[in-house]
Amino acid sequence: MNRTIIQTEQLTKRFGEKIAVDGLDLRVEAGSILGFLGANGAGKTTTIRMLMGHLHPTGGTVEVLGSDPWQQNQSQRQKTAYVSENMDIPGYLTPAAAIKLNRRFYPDWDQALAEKLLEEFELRSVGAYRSLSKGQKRKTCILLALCQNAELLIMDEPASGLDVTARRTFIRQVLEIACNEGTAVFLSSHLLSDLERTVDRVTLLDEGRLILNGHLEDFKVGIRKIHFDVPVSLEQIAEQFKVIRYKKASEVETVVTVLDYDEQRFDAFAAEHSGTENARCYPMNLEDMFVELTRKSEAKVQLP
Amino acid sequence: MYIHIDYNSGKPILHQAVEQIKWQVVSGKLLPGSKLPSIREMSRTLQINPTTVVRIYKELAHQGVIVLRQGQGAFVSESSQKQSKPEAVEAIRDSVRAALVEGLRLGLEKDDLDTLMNEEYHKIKANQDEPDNHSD
Repeated sequence: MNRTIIQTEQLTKRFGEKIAVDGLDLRVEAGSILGFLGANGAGKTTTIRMLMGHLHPTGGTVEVLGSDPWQQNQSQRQKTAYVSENMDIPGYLTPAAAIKLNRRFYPDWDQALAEKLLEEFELRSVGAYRSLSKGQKRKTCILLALCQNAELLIMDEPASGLDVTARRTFIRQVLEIACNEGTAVFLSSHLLSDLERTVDRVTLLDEGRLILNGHLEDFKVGIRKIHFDVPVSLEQIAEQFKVIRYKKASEVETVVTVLDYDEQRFDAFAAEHSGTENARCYPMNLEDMFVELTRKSEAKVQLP
Repeated sequence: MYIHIDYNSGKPILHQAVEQIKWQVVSGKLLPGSKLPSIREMSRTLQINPTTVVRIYKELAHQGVIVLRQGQGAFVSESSQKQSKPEAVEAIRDSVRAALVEGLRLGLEKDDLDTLMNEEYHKIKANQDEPDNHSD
């Protein structure tokens, strides 16, 4: 088992009456890329701010690289790199000047990578940060974070505003980092098709609570949307499968989403309930899963 | 080594890759003893998480398609026919039966099925056909 980079236990944050993060148990190992998902307001940014030591938890514990981020000194904090959607660097710096500055500040700085990314992101001869386009600003901040050679890379919507080519470069670089096995990447993004291929684990937050946490590939094996052309009761289907959503689409149609589909068990189910053998089963990609698990409009089944 | 992954199909990347590598081995595109790309190379080429590559290789090793040699990498097994013939027959009996049942259900007859079996066999041996990645 790889080194633990992030560990939280029952991590909780309240703002007055409101519980923003509710009893979060997380564990991220070195070499892993965690996709941290949730609808707006689900508690992602609050969690990230606690991981960064910017916010003090109301309850529970958080450890980043072996210590409480709230207590970390500067050299410990330098081992975590951070990019957020709203982050900026001083407006008068050109990307090249920012690199010079950061190079002095971070002992593990990767200058070769900085040179390479300056070219690939086409930032070598651009002007001061304040004069850059939104995409160029993002690329500058991403470059600075990647070259820090940190042990933990926390990214909050890093790729929003990037064009496709820059996103590809970014993804490729994040995968390179994961190959080094010493670093963990904590990636929060709404660009689910990007996450689909890059992450190994996904964590889905809904109203401050963890509703899905594990290997994306494992979820894909079992998660299916099943359309029945006959009425099927929740009790019937729940006897055989872990149901995460149940909907009577019409008098005769039932739509069910299950976490642990398996052909043989489905055949057994169909043998017992006539009319169900013609059901159609659809696999789901990450985006389908996300929508399915976070939709608010219908009554949800209590998650296992 | 060309592998095509449909990232958004919902089908696990692991299954897609294992299926295609196995196909390359049985069709002779990947010869016994040949070395597979390193974890890092594979992660780069397919742009997928290295942990997923590790899982792909472990699954292939588990199925006897490849062997993992410590510090050297992954190699196509020298003899994928380590199983005796009766064992091999048992190993594929279920999938053959499932395909037959489906064919009969769709109204095919024995001759059609024989022809199909022959056609697919020759395609594989002739290295022509690419596996269908989109069926599920």
